[in-house]
Amino acid sequence: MSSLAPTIVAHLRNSYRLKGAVFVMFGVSVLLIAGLIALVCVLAIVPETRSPNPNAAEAARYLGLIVYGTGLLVMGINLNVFTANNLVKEKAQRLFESILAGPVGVRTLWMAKSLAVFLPGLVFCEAFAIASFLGVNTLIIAPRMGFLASPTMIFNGLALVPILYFPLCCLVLLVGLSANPISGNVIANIAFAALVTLLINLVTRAGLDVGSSVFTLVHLALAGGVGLLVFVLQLRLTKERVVLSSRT
Amino acid sequence: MSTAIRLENVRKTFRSTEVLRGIGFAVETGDMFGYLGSNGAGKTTTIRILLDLIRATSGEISIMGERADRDAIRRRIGFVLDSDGLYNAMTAEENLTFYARIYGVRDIGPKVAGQLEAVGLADRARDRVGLFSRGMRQRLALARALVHGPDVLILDEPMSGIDPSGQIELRRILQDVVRQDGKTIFFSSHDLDEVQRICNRIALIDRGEIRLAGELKTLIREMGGHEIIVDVGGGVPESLVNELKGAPEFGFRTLENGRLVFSPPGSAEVSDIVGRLVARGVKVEGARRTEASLEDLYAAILKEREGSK
Repeated sequence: MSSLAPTIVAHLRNSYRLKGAVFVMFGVSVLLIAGLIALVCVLAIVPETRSPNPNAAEAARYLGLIVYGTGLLVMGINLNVFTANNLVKEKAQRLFESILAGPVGVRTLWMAKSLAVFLPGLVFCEAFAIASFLGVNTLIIAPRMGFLASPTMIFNGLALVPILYFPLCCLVLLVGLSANPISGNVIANIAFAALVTLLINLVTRAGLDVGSSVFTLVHLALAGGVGLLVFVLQLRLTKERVVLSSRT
Repeated sequence: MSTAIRLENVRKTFRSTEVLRGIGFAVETGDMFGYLGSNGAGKTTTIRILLDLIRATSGEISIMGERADRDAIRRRIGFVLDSDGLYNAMTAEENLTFYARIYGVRDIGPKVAGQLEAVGLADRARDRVGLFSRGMRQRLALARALVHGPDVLILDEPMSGIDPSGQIELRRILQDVVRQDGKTIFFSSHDLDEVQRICNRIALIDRGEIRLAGELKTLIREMGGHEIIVDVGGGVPESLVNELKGAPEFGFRTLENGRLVFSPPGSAEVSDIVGRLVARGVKVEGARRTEASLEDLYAAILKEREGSK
């Protein structure tokens, strides 16, 4: 595993130096997050802060939704932009053959690729989520209701998305490495669509509190399920599968 | 001389297709070994098995006396595959540094700089590889293959897609590697001229079977034969022609327009034939020996295969 760190660094460099892809990732993220914040603020938080009897718990619930949604959008877009496109190019270029013919094991390569996508996603996710938490709190909520924060809101807002996305990232890269990379991206797209649909439902129907323990448990169970699937599938990961699925 | 690479009865089957049908050959230490075959003959599959990228269905493969699937042996092998495996968004220096790190090389900076210098890319060290020509990429891939000081180099069609000047440069580097560093080079190619020019030993694979393996000069001498051509001034008496025909060791074939052609089956040399002619009063204007080419050998094997169908 001593080759893990250099392999992560190489893949970080190879991916995040693509200015176009980074621009798309940040551009789309900022647009969607701005839309999410505007939507939740206009429809829920601002009316709550202006009501004669403002309900801090209700406002906190919506704030939690913004923080969670921000992380979800950034992580999802990062995974979509930096997995399949890169994998398709790298496989067409047969890059992995050269790495695997050296002393890098196939699982080390897989983990390095997963972390090279996940770690920047984690940083962006937390940075955007904290910025939206502080921004909405400071500019909209605090002047009328004071600064809102709770341990579950912060944990669920900042930690649940990465906890779910790490195994998802591993799954996407596992499928992409050992089969057609497009298949990996299909998983990423479906997961992203499903989670965004969940978010929209939460926004419009507000049936489930993002800060609730049920929400936490659902996420942890989902992450556990994906993790289990990854564990089972990785038993079939071999150099031969990676090499032969790279054939052009 | 020790054996650097040995394959014994190696078979590889993909689903129901047998790609390698019990191949075997040995590469000695210090050899420049050419692995010849047409497209789809099984060259790349053999190389992938040597590099443990795919597993043989059966058979024994050893490199430097150890099983090829051992991790330790990976560190003693350098390789250039038909795709160069370089990161486009990274510079030449970063690419070499990455590979040096995963091989656990010490004093990475000087070694990377030295390899870039050796392949003539020192002035492009900080340029992104995505901007390099095919020839430059191949040279960089070769530098990458050498950065950890391997004992054996495995190269899969390293000259393909490179312009003639790039090929000359790459050939020079490879020959230096063998001469100066005593490394063993195993390289696949379907370019017969290139193999004949630089290899001392070869194996020829055709449809998953080794048709020929051994020292190139010996194979050409034994299988392809050679000709001795003598140009004479004036005529050649009929009696001498008959005498030559009666000397099987000379392998006399034709006399046309003052040119005698011999195909000696054994060790008869130019001097033996010229000596006989001069002794009989023939005015010899010139004589030369022409070796059969690898192409002749290859054509003969293909013909033999077609004939056995």
